[in-house]
Amino acid sequence: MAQKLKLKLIGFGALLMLTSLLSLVLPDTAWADIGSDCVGKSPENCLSNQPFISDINAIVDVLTALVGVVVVGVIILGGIQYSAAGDNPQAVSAARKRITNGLIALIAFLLTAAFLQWVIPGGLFNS
Amino acid sequence: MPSPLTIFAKLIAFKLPFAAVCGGGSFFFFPHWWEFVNTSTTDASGKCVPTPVFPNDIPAVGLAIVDILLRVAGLIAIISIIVAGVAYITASGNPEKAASARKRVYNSLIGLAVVFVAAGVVAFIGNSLGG
Repeated sequence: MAQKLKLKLIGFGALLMLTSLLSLVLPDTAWADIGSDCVGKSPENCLSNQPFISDINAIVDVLTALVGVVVVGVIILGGIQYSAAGDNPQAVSAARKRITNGLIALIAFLLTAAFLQWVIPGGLFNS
Repeated sequence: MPSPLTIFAKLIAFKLPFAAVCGGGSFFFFPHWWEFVNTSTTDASGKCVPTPVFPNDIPAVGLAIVDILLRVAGLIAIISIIVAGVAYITASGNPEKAASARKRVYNSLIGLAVVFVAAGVVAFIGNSLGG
């Protein structure tokens, strides 16, 4: 179980390092111009002006704001569980598992967002 | 070229609503769910009329729920510590019971610490980035 977790975290870390290194090697790629994929193009050729893309952007905005709130909520729930555990070691380990799962979700989200920020022309947040 | 850290900072500070129009006030220690909804108005008698916008105000309501959970955490930790204190008093020389009561106190304090570290880190990041 712990071994699997370690493998997953190492994989995510490698992904992040790879994206950072690539952005160093290729300075003129997407990370370099956040929110400026419309520069030097006519408005109808610009990706972020398309209705479908702007709808997706609105959804992504709400979800990114929600991720932080939900992760904090899960960690606080884990804390409540820890407080209410009393001297029962099983309940303590359940609470600890909930807290670690919340932290894993946060890290996974950050790494995924970094990867998408690099991969999407104009970046994730160009609304 | 923005570093990954700048991107993360931008991510975390992103549009988290921290201002309230008719926030404040509470119902039995717990804040209202519209605490962080920015589009609320007050009617003639000064009562709050929350008018949340559908997709944009979901995080604001979630933040209010987190605020309610914070108070629940405090209440449960205090109750647990009181229960442990009673158990300690009534242990009357029984080492097992005393150890169990001590463990209960430790666990409730750890839970309280987890909750306040989580909430404090988020508040610190939100304030220092002007979110």
